[in-house]
Amino acid sequence: MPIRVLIIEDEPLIVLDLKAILGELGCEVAAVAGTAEEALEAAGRERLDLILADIRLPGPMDGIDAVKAIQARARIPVLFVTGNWRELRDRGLPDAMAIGKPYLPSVLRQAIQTVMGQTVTGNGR
Amino acid sequence: MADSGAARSRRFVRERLAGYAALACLGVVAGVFGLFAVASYDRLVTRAEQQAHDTAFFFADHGSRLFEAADLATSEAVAALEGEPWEKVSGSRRAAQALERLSDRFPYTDALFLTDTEGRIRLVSNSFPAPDVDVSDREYFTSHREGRRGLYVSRLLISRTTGNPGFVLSRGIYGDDGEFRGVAAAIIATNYLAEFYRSINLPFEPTVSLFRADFQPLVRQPGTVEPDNPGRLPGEALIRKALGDSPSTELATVSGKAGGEELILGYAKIENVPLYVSVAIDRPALLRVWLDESRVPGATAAVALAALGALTVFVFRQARRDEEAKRLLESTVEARTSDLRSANRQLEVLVQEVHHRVKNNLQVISSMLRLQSIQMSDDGVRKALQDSVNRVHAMSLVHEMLSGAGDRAGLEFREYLRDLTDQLKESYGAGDRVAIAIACDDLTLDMTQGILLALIVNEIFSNALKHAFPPGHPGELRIALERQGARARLTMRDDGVGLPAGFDWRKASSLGLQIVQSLATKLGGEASLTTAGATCFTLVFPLGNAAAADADLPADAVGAL
Repeated sequence: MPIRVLIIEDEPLIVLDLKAILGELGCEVAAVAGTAEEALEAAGRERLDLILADIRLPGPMDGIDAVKAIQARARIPVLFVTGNWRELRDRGLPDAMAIGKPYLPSVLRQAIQTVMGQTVTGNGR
Repeated sequence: MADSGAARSRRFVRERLAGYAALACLGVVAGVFGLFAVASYDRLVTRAEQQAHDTAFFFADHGSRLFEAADLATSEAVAALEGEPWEKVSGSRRAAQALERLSDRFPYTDALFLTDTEGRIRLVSNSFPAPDVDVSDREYFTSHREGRRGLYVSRLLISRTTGNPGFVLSRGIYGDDGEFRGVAAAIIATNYLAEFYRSINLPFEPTVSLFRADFQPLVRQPGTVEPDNPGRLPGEALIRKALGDSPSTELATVSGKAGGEELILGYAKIENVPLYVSVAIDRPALLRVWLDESRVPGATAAVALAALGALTVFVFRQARRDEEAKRLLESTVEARTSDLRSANRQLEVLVQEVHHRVKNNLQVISSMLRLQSIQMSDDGVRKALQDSVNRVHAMSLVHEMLSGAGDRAGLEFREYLRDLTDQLKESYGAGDRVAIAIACDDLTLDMTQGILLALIVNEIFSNALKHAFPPGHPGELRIALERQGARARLTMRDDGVGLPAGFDWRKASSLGLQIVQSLATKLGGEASLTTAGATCFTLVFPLGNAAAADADLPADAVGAL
């Protein structure tokens, strides 16, 4: 059964790239959210195994707010994909998993494996 | 600024010290003048005591001579009677004239007179025949009639023969058989004595008194003694006590309170006469003299105190102004420091934002290249696009490390090398085949040098991973970066399959090697690639400002490179 992933990212080209990489890894993109509100709505609607989240998002809430709100309802593994992952430490999520932008597909795959605690297949490119 | 603040602080301390010094001088001057004033007053008291003593002695001595002479005159008058009966004496003009001559010899005697046994005046020095005056009620008469021998001094009275105030020095007249025959007396003019006391110019304005042994005052100068109401003797209590304690003391000085008044008092007994003289100096008189004598030194001290006081006020005001200026300066510095901190924080936020946007944009570029590569069916094109992704990633890693550098001014290259090689190994799937050994000195590079060197390492490293270690040919890649004074040497050596014979890397068509040459030139470095034994890339380049500062090199040494 494929891993169902919620992508929280407002940059369409990066979303496409993530989709391609996740596709190579055999994951299924359950939903894409460009804002925190969309992410909350998708989390309420979809069954999710993993969240890939950016921090900077348009609107009053950012990715950290969205993840906190989602995790308040259900414990879903999260991997932050961000250019400013140090903000996690300042915002009370020092133990959250994160990779920096720009990422290499191989690094992303390894991070997802760590978060999911299982081997994710794919060619890694 | 710090020097100026320190100098201002030192000056402030000096001014405060000067202020306290002036205050101390003020205290010293005030203290010295106070001590001088006290000592001066003590000396004045001693002088006054001496003055009272000496004056009392002088007037007593004077009185002794006067009254002795008057007593002698009465004795002579008695002797002139030669036992004649009163009827004959009272009719004798010659006797009256003799008495008049005798009285005239002593100007302080108002009159000399003789009485009979009944107290009637029979002969008097100032008129003939004698007026019909009866003195039988006078105490001196009754005293002698009752047998008192010797000299008697009366209270102050108004003479019935002259009408003037005075007191009487009298002796009883007795016959050979001791029978009382009358009284011989001299009336002493108190006005004469008062005038005499007044004519002596005495310091401390003393009150001179002549009084009887029963403390009845007879003369007081200044002032008067009324016969009917003679009043109290100044300092009577003090003299009574002194005489009570030591009756034989005929000349003494006492001081203390008497009648509510603080007095210094000298008294002396007049020799052979039951009379005393006292000289009383009161506290107000003493103070007047003290103030008079203290005027010049007091004025001098007042001027000095005023000057020192003004100086003290000036110095303290100056110190306070400096303190206020210092406080103002400190608050200004604090406000500016706070502004700078705030501006610095804003700048840091801005820098973080810039790094974030740069990385996000690099991610977009990286994603585009990767998406493009997915679309390509040609494996060569796909690999070329992947190389570009890696180049972008190498650059972004520099931004990533710089954005997390905090207060550090540049890129820690050893840490960078570790991250880059880990990720490239992962990217090329070479983790099992190739061992990486990194030996890097502590070097901090600025962003420009860091990115150039990062891209060079990326190209050489990627080439090695792609070509030097084909499947079945594991090996080792060594990277060394060492400081050589103001320069640095990068060495990348692999023990892979090596380059083809006669390979000239400078003429190679590979984009990667062209990029390396171009970036090495931009770094101002010299690059070489040797193939003897192992493939070895070497780059020697001058270190930039961040690295020079890191090594404490002089700026001109860097500029000369």
